[in-house]
Amino acid sequence: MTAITLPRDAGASDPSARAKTWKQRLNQEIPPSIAREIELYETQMELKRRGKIEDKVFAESRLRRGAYGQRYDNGQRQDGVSSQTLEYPSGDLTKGPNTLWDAPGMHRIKIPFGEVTAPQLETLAELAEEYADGICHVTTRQDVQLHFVHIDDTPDLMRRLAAVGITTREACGNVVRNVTGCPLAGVCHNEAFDVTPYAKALTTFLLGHPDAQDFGRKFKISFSGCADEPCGLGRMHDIGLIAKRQEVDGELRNGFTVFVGGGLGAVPHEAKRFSDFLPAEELLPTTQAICRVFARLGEKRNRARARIKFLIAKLGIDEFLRLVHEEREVLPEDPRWTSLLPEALERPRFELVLPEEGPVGPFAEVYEAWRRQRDGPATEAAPFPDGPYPEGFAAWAKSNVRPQRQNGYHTVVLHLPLGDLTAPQMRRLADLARQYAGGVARTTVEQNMLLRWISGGDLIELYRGLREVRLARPGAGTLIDVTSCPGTDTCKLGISSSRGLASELSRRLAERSFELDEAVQQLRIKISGCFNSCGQHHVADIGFYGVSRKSGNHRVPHFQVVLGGQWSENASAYGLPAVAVPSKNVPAALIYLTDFYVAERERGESFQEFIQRIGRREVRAKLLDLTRMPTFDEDRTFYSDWGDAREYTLADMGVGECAGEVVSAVDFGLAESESTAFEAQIALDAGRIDEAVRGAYTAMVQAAGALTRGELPNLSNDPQEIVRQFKLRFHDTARFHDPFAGAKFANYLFRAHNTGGESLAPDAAHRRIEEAQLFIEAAHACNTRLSQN
Amino acid sequence: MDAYRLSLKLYFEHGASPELTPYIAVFHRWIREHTLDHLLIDVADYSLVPEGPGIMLIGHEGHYSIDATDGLPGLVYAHKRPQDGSFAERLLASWQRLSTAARLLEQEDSLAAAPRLARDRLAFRINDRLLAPNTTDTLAAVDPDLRSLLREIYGDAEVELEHESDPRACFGVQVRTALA
Repeated sequence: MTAITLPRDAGASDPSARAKTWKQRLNQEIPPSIAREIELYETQMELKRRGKIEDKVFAESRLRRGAYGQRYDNGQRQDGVSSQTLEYPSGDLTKGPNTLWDAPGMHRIKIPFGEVTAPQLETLAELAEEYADGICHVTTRQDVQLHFVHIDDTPDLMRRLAAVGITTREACGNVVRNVTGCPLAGVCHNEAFDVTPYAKALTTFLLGHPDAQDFGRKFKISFSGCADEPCGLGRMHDIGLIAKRQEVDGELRNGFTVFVGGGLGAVPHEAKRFSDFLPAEELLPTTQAICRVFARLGEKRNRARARIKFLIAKLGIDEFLRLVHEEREVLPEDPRWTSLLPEALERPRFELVLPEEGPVGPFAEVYEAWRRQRDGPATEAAPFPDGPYPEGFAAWAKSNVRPQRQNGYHTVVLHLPLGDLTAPQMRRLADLARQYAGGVARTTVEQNMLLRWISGGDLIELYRGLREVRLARPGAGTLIDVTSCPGTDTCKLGISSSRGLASELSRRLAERSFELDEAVQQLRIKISGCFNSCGQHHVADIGFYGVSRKSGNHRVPHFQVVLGGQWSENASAYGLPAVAVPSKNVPAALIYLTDFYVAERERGESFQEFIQRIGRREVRAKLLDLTRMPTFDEDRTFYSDWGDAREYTLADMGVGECAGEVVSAVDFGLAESESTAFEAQIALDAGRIDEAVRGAYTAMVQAAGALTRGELPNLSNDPQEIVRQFKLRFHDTARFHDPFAGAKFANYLFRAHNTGGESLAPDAAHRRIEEAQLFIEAAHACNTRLSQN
Repeated sequence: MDAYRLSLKLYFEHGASPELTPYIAVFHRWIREHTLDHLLIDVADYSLVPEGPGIMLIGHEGHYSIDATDGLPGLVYAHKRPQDGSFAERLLASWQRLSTAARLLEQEDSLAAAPRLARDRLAFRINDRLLAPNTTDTLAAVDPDLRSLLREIYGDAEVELEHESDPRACFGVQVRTALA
């Protein structure tokens, strides 16, 4: 054993590294409210381990923090021959209905409007290496997902994200999901104005907002800078906000054309126009009013019809508008409606063309960060470089580089295969973002990443840097840039292997990309593993979604070919299925379709127009040969899916968690009160008597508040008011009374409330905690009685 | 050293890049036949990701991958879940899992070209920045147990250790020896 070569920068350890837990290490770096939120989650995990929280309540609780189930998490897996039981060490312990504790899960990390900074990129890389499988996956809604994460690791994962300003709160579940936004905001030639500050404000406003906690289903919001491009996909969202400038009282003002009730899923709905011009200052209150109407009137029991699109279809857009306006009128004034938008509202006149001295408006900050982070003087704007170019540069630049509206700056797309990149690639991307792009990158709805503010003079060096880590893949935004949901790889709802098919198509198309006709190169392919359209197949030129067909005693993975979708104009038209083709014939079907288009299209005819002219029946007839399946004995390869050697089966499908669990706000509030009571017990065990007494009282107030808010949604957090309203509505009406004990449990609350912050002896504190537990149980019982009535 | 997220890698001989797709079937069969002595769950296909984890065999306690994340193809075992025993025992257990999988792959008839994994090089990482930051202190802390493992593997052969340089990366050491 001889030489040890040390790196130059490997020195003594950081003293904070001596902390034994991430909680200790990051204690000072996480905002207290977020730290508390994560501790609450950890307490709920402990309560779940002890069997003190219902499966569905805990499931919704973890989902709302981004912790999702994955395929096989019921402990059963079809191995191609038979179904095997996965014998996890925690046995029957569950983390949700039919979901085993030890089963690896997916963690969804919200990246609002896709903006991610260099330190955040580095943290994502760390988490992928330490807790997942080393891969960061960019989703079609600008999130980042980690797969194969154990639930025990999730609190630390959240802490490390919180320390760099990311929360996973409300990444899943029946809440407002990641607010997406055009990744070109601020640098696009076509936009009315930069939507970034508005997206940021709405994200902040709605996160944890009481009016957005009691939905029957998830709720998705998107911002676009213009009406023509697809970058924001505004018209396929629950709320789609498209920037618009309009003269109001002689002044040109920022506002939004608002669409509501759009959505893909099994039954896609085209969005309805809610407002042609919603002034910017009305953005937050109007969205709040929409949330209230959805929470109040949206379907709660039948999850298949619980999205807002069904409510709007049921009411009609005019009645929906009336209800929202009515709700808007009675909303209590909230100073945050304007305080969260200072930057945007104080600058009503954004410059459409930036002055030569550099960017202004919201991006001045990014620009300044970019200037500061460089070692020397900032690189000045420069035109696209002259040659000679390094190998591959010209093809890469043609597809992946676009000039910004600011002369001399460019956007650069990192074309990620199926949205995946490794932890080392992510770290290197952070370096390159710091060096060339102001320390900021954006994720895109096409599962790519984008660097902005790249000076023309830096393009060649950036290309070299990306190429070193294999991130200079050409073909962004072309036919080979295939989008796919996770499908059967990890999703419980997956029917066919969308990622397997996407891999195969990407490989084959990349091999022949240089011979593909220019018109074909511009087409978009999007693939979903089932009809739910997470891969956005409805809005692709050529979409596919997974189905299955039977042949003899065997099943054959298939994909429906979806044609006629429109990606442009914010995804304004949805395609329809033409025919189901066996998975193994899909590459041939694709080649047939593209060759057919090249041969038969008329001058300037888009693919959508081409399909319209030719007719779906004709296209279907042309593909009919490819729908035939060989028998199992003739060719067994048709009976397994792409990227999966097992014989195909549907046995592994489970109940998806996309829909979340329908858990009422009352149930949530009661779960929170139980966590607080549990922490009071821990405080008592540790001898922190006063803290235990306070905790017991707080737990009772929380439970009373939860129950009362079921009838009085605007109830404040003031304990005085909560107890007063609780007494009025539940005690004085005897509705809280126990059938046998009468007002006994309510009196526990009143006594604790009236004695205020008194100090108690340990045995009295113990009794107080017991009383709190009994009060919470009584609140549960009361809630059950009320629900049954 | 309390860390348990230990990762070990053997490299394919002569830096040969294997065709990845056939490993999917091999790993599925290992799951079906309980080939390894711990719970195996699934196979993940990352073959499209350049310099990525290739094909992964996902286990409850740890994952295997036909990995090229550091630019060189090889076989990785990365332990994920807490385990009993001293650090030396945990290190040895991870090595035994890797060497078992390596031996099985080298004997795998279903692969057209059975892989050859070089035994003169080894990469060791601890995927835990809290308990094992990439510092000289960590190197000093793991050194005796790592040496003990290397003696187990290489006997008295001369071994060269190189501490990986990026302080943001997980703690890592490259091990080289002249003898196989």
